Amino acid sequence: MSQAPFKNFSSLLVPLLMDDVDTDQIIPARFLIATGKEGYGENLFRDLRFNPQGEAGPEFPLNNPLYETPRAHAHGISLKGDQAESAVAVLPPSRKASADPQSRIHPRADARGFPAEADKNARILLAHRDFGSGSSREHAVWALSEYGFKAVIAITFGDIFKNNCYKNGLLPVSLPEVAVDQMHKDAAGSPQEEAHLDLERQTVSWKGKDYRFEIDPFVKACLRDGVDEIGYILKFEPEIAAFEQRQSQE
Amino acid sequence: MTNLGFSHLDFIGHWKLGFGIFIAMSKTLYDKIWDAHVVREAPKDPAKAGLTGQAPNEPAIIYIDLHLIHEVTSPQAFAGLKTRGMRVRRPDLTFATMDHAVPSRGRFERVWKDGNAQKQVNTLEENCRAEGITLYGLESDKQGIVHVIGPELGLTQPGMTIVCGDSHTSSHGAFGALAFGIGTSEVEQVFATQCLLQKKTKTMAITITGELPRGVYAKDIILSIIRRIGVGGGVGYTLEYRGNTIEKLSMEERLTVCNMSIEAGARAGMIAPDQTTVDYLLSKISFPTEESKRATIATWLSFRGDSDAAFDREVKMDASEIEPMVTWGINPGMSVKVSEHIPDDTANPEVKKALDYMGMQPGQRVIGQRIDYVFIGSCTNARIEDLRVAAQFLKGGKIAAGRIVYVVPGSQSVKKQAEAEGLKEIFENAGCEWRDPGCSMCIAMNGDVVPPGKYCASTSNRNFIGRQGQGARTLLMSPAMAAVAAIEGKVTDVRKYIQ
Repeated sequence: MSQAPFKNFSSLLVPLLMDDVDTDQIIPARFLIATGKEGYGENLFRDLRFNPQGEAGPEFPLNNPLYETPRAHAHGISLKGDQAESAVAVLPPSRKASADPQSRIHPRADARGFPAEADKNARILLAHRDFGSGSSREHAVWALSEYGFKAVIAITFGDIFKNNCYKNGLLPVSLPEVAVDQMHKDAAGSPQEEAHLDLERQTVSWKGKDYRFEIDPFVKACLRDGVDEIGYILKFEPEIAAFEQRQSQE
Repeated sequence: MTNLGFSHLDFIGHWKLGFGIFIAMSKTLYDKIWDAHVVREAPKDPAKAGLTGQAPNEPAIIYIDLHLIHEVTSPQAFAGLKTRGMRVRRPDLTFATMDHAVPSRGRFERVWKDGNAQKQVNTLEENCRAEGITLYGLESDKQGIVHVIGPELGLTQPGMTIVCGDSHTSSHGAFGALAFGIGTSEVEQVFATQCLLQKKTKTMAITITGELPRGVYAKDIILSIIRRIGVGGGVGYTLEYRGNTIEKLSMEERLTVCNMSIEAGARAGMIAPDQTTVDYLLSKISFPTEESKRATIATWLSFRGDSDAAFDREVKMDASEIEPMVTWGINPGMSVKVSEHIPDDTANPEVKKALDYMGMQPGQRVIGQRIDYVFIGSCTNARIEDLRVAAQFLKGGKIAAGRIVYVVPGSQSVKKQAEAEGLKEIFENAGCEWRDPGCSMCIAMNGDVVPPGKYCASTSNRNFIGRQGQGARTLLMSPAMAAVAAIEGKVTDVRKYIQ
C-alpha cells in the first residue's frame, strides 16, 4: 500500500509563467466525472491548452512537443497530427524539439553522478505564484502525475493542493520569487537544458546553480521512503482507542 | 523549565521569555479545539518517533469528530479502503449527501444525460450501504449541499473537528468548529483511522467593528476581507473572525463569511460560539434531559478563545467602510466596491489577463456592466435568509429581457421552507428558474453551465477562469446585488433600491 519511494531525477523544466493557476484550471470540474484515479491526464490544463473550439494554443507549453512525455504520448494525451505540427511551426528554429526523446537526456548526467537510468516520463513544472489554490480536488494531482510531472516549482502553493501532492509522490518545491523568476528567464533561453532534482540535498540544480528548497523533514522522510500514512497512523491504534474511550466518557 | 538558560538572559530577554510563557497559557479558540483533539502529540523526543531511526519533526495525530462526504471526492477513497481490506472506522461519525454532480432539474429521470454523474451517485449509494453510513440521497428530504445540511441537521457543533473532501468545509467554522477541506487521500485516512496527521497552523485574528451600512451583507464583508489580505494572505493560517460586527451576524451570515476563508488561502476560518450559536443549535437538536442540555451548552461555550490570547497576525477593519462588493477579475481578491472603477493598470500582467478574460475595459465602472446570467445559490449563499433577501428585491418585479436567472436552494429543507413562505412564486413570477438543491452553476459539472463569453452575476464563491463553464465570466456579489442585477440586466448598486 506504500507509494513508490521518490527518486531523484533529471528533466526539462516545463515553464508555466502564470500566477493563480487554481485547481479548476489544472483540471476543470466537468472532467471530475470518474470514480477512479485514472484518465485525468488527458484533460490536464484542458482550457489553457485548448480554446472552446478545441484548438490548441501554440503558446501553451504543453502544446510544445518538446515537453511531451512518452507516457503522455502513449496515453494519447499529446497533440495529434496537424495540431502538433502547427504548434512546432511557431517556435523559432533553434527551439524546435528533437523528436527523439533519447536526445533529451541530461548530457552531464553520469559525470554529475545523477542516476544513469533517467525517467523519460518525469517532468518538472515550473509555475509561479499561488499554484494549486482553490478547490480541494485531488484530481488535479492525479492529472499532473499521469501526464508525467513529478515535481512542481512555484513561489507559493495552495495548502490543500500541497498536501495532496505529498500523498501522491508529487513534490511541490517552494522557491523564492527571485529564484523562480530567474529560472523562468533561463528556461526561455535554453528550453532543452535539463534540471536535476535531489530530494535528499533539497536542491534543484539548473544551469550551474543549486537552488535549495525547504521541506518538512517528516514529509521528506515519507516521500523518500514511500511511507504509507495510514499504516503510520495505525501504529498508534492504542492511542486512538484511548482517545475514543475518553471521548465516550465525557 | 530548568534548561532554558535563564541565567544567560538579560533583563529584556527575561521579560520576553516571561511574556512568551504567559501567552502560551492563554489559548485561542483554535488552540482549544486543537488541544481537545490531540490523539498523539508531536513527539519531542526523537526516541519516540513513529518513523524508526530518525527524528523527522513528526506531525501530531488529531481526531476527527465529523466527516462529511459527497459523490465526487469519495469513490477513490472507498476503493482504496477496500484494497486495504479495511472498513470505515466510524460510520456513525460519517454522513453523506449528493450535491456536486447531481442535476438541479430532472434528477429523477432514470437515464440522465450524464451517465458519469449517475455512476458517481450509484457508487456513493453502494458504498454507504456497504459501510453503514447515513446517506441523504436524492430521495431524502434532507438532501442538499453538504455545507448547508451539516448545520441544518445540527451535525455541526462548537468545538468539533470537521472535515470533508471539499475546500468550502471552512463554512462550518461559523459554529466555532475547526473545519477544513481535505483531498481524497485524506478522506481515505479518515475512513480508515478517524484521524489525520496535522501540524498546527498559524492564527490570524480578523476583527471587524462598527455598524454595517444599509445594502451591505455578509458576502460583502468576506469579499472585503479577501481584497484586503489577498487570495494568498491566509495560506498557512486559521482565521478567526471577531468584533462586534461579526457578533451581530446571524448563523447563516456567519456561514457565508467562514465559507470563503479558503478564497483567502486559509483552510479554516472560525467564529467563537455565543448565544446566537446556542439558540440556533437548540432549534435543531433535542436533549433527553435539562441537565444534559445545560452541560452541552456549557461545553459549547467553553470553546471561546481567551481574551488575552495572542495571534500570529491581526487585521482590523471598520464595518462602516464596507460597501456592496463586486468582483471584476478572475480570482475572488479582484473585487471593487460597487461605486468604484475597475483597475486600469494593464502593465500588470495579472490585471491584463483578467481584463482580457473578462472582456472588460481598463478603468471602466463596474456599475452598468452587462449581465446575461444570474445564479443565486451555492454553499456561500443558498440558505433561507439569502433567498429571502433576493426575493425582497425581486418581489413584484421582472428580470430583464433575455436574461436567465437560476435560483437554486441549498437544501431540500431550504426549498420547502422557501416554498412555504411564497418565495418560489416571487422568483417564478419574476421570471427566474426555481431548481432542485445542489452545487449547480457554482461548479458547472452537473449540466448547469454559463456559456462561453457570457457574464454571470453569481452569489457563489469562485470567479476562476472557466469555473462556471468554459469561457464563462463570473462576477461574484451578494444575493441582494445579484437580484437587482437580474432586474436591470446589468450590475447595479443595490442601495438604489433601499432608500
